[in-house]
Amino acid sequence: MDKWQAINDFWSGFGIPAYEQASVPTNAKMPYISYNAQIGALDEVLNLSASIWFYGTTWEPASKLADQIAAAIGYGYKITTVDGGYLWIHRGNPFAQRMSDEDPRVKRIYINIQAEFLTAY
Amino acid sequence: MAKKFTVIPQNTFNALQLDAGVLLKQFDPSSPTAPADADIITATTGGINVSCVPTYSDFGEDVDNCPNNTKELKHLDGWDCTMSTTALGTSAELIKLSLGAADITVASSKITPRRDLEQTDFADLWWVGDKADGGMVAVKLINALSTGGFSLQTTKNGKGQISLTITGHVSINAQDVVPMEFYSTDAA
Repeated sequence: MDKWQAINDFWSGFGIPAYEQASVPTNAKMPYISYNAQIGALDEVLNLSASIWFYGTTWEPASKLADQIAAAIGYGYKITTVDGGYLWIHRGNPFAQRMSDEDPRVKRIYINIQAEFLTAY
Repeated sequence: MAKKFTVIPQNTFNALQLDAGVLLKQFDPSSPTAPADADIITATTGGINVSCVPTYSDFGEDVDNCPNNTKELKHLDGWDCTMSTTALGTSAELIKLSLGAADITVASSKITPRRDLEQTDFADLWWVGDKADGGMVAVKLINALSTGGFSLQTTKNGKGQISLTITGHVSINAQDVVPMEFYSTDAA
């Protein structure tokens, strides 16, 4: 699996569609995750972010999904295989923040993670 | 021009040790399962230092005309084997561990330093960490005893931290056994 795919796979593993930030379809319906994608190599710590988008009157489903992502990373880290090595993911700081939106029914939680590709290049 | 020697072995990333690992009271490297909470000595901060350092004498040091570090005259005096970390816990067991020679009175939750060392103050302990490929690396510290004493540092708005320095010891009953053993396994 290449590095871009590994990042997509991570964000796509939570039961709702995940789109790279620059490629969110104009007709995408909430809930979905949008994320920024970066790749690197050994000793290059990447600060990656994503937004969880839900539409409704309550924060509950978005908060549950944030908890689910936190649990997937776990206390320490999550590691997956990529071409030439591994993708090593930690929680960022702060891990999750609720964001306001012009439309109060848009419930957006901003997620920070840190990632490092344990690869030669 | 092609670079021939700016390379790393292909298995580099499999063997990377990741994160701080954990200090355990007991561990079976032949069956490396996730530890039970009761087996974890303490939460730590800042990582764990594991050290096994030989001390050598050069028997040729004072011999006229003998080159330094002549291998035939090198003598291994012994090994200094330690683990050190900063612990975040303040359980009675951890305080006792850091004191070394001490007793816990459960009924009064009292930990009392003892004037004399007892053989029961020594106990094996383990550091175990993950490898990137899903394997593990483990180190057993044999006959471990805290030699750094108890040192608690508190900070305003911060967490109390206890410095731990634990040293492995040779037993008079097994004088050839170096007090540290190492295990490294690949993913199953």
